[in-house]
Amino acid sequence: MVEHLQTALSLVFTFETIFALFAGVLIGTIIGAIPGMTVTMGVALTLPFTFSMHPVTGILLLLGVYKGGIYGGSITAILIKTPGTPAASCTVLDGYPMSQNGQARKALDIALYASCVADFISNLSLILFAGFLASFALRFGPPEFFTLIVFSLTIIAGISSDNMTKGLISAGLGLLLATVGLDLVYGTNRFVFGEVELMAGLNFIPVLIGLFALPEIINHYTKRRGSTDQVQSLGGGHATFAEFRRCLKSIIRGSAIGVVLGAIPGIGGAPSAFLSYSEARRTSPTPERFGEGEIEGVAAAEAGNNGVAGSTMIPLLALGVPGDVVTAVILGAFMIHGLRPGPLLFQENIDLVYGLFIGIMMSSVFLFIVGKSSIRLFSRVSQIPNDILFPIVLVLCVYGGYAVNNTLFDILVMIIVGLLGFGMLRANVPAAPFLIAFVLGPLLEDNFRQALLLSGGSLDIFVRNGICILFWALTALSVFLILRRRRIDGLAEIP
Amino acid sequence: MAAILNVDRWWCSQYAAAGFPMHPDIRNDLITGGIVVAFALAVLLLLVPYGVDRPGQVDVSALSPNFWPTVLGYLLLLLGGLMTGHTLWRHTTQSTGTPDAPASSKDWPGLGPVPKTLAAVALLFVYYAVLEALGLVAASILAMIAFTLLAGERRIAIVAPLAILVPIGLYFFFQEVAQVSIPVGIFEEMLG
Repeated sequence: MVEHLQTALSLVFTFETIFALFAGVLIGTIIGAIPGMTVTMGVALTLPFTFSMHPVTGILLLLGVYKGGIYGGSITAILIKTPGTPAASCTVLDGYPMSQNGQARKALDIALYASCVADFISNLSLILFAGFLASFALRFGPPEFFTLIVFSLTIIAGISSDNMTKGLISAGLGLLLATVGLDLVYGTNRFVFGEVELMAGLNFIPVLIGLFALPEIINHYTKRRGSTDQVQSLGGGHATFAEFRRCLKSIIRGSAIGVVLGAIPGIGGAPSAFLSYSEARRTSPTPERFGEGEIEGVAAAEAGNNGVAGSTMIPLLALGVPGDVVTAVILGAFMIHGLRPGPLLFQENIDLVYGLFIGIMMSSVFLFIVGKSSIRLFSRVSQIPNDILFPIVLVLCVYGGYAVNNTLFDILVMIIVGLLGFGMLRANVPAAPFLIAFVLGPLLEDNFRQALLLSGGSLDIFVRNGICILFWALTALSVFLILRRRRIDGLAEIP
Repeated sequence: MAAILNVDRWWCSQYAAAGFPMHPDIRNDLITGGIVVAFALAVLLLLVPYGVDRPGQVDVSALSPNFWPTVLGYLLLLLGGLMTGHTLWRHTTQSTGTPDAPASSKDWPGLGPVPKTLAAVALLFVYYAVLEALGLVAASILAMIAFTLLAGERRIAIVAPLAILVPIGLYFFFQEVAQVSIPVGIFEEMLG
C-alpha cells in the first residue's frame, strides 16, 4: 500500500503533471465561460493533446478541463444571464439578479466557494466508493457485464432526451457504427466495403469530435448574427465568511445530492443543481427571496452541479462503464494509453488509480486558485465573438482528428459524423447516447458473445444469478419510471 | 443538407395547405421516424447482406458476425416505426400547432441561413479536399479566413493574424511537443 502510494506520488508530483492539471482547470474555466462552447467540446478538443503524455498526466489534464468547465459555466450565468454550460442554468436564477443588484462579485465568490467544497466532497466520495465497488465487480463475468451495460445504456438513452425513443435510436445508431471493422470472434469484415482504413473500425476521436464539436460549428451558420451580450460589472464587495457559513448547510446538502446523482449513469449536473436549489429553497426560512438574488440560491445550485464532478467517475473507474459523455471521453483516453478502467484496473494499475485520486484532490485546490485569481479575465472571455471562435475551433478539430492516426481519412470520418450530428441536433436526437453506445458497443457485443460461448448458445446464462436479474430489474424499473415521468410531464403540458 | 434544413418546412406547408396544420415538433419527429425506418430497412436489406462477410460454418447462430448488426437493424426499425406511429397519433390528438412563419431576410444579413449553412458544409469538404495538396497549415489558414468571412466577421486586422498564428501554433505543438508528424505541403521548405 505505502509502496503504491509512493509510486503514485512520484507520478503526480512532476512538473508536467502539475502543470497539465493547472492548465486543464484554467482552460476548462475559460471554455466554460464562453457561451456556445460546451464542457464536452472542451474535453473532446483537449483529448488529442494528451496522446504523447503519461496516462496520469493526460487524464488529469482532461479532468482539469472538465472541472474547470463546470465552474466556468457559472461565470456567464451570473454576469450575462447565459449559462456557459447546461449545468449552470440553475445558477442564473439567483446569480443574475445578484449581478443586477450590484453584487456580482459576491455571487461569483460564493459560486467559487460552493464549487470547490462540492468538488472536494465529490472527490472524497470517489476515493471512498470506487475501490469498494470495484472489489464487488470482480465477481462479474460476461453476462453480468452485458446486463450492466444494457442497464447503463437504457438509462442514459432514456434520460438524455425528452423523448425516450429518440435516445434509444441514438444509442442504436452508435452501437451499429461500433460494429464497423473486423469481427471480434471470426475476424471477418463487417461494413468495410474494401476500404482498408475501416478494417480496424472507426476511431473514437474523429467520431467524438465530429459528434460534439462540428454540429455546433455548422449550426452557428444557421443563426443570425447577434450582438454581444451586455456583461454586468464586477461591482460590489466580496462574499464574507459569515455569508459562506450561512450557505454551508445548503452547500453540503447540494454536494451530497450531486454525489448521489452523479454516480447514476446519465443524470449529470443540471438535474442535481435544480434538486439542490429546490431543497435549499424548501428548507430556507426566507424562500420568497429565492429568485430575487439570494446568495444561498447561487451556493446551492453550484454545489449541486459541481457535486457530480468526482462521483461521475465512480462507475467509470470501478466498472469501466461511463455515466456521461465526459467520462466516455476519459474512457477513450484510458484506451488510447492501452488501459481499461474497471475492477481489474484496481488490481493491475493501482499506482495509476492512486495517482488519479491524488491529482483529483489537487484539482479542487487549483480550481480555487484559478477561480479566485482570474475572475476578471473570465468575465471578458465571454465576449469573444463566436464568428471568430468557431473557425478556430474547427481548425483545432481538424488537427485533433488528424493527430490520432496521422491519416486524413479520420478527418473525412469526422466531417461525415459531424453532418450526422448536425442532422441529429436539428431533429432533437441526443448525441450522448450515440457516443456512449459507440464506446461501449464492442464491450457489449464481446460480453454477449463470450456469455453465449460459455453457455453453448443458451440464453439462460443472462439470468443465471442475482446480479444479472438485478440489472434486468433495474433496466425495467428505469424504463417504467422514465415513461411514467414523461406521461406526467405530457399531461401537465396539455392545457 | 438542404433536405435537413428545408424539407420540414415543405412538409409543413403541404399539410397546412391540406388543412392539417402540423406542430413543428410533430413534423420533425415524423421526418426523423421516417428516416430511421428507411435506414433500418437499408441496414437489413442491403448493408448486412452485402456488407458483412460470414464464415463458412457457425455453430451458434447468435455468434455469427451478422447477428448483432441484424438485431440492431430490427431494433432501429422497431424504434423508427414506434416513433412514426406515436407521432402520427400525437398529430391526430394534439394537432394544435401552426407552421413556422417564414424567416425574414432581415434576420440574416448577407447570405440567408440555408445558403450560408450549405456554403459552410461545402467549405468543409473543400477544406478536406485541399489538405493533402496544400498541407494542414496552409489549408487551415485559408479555411479559417473563409469560415470567419462566411460567418460575417469583416475585421481583417483581427482575422488575418489569428488565421496565421493558430494553425502555425498548433503545428508546432503537434510536431515538436506531441511528436505527431503534420503534413506541411506547400510550406515544406519553410517548416519541414
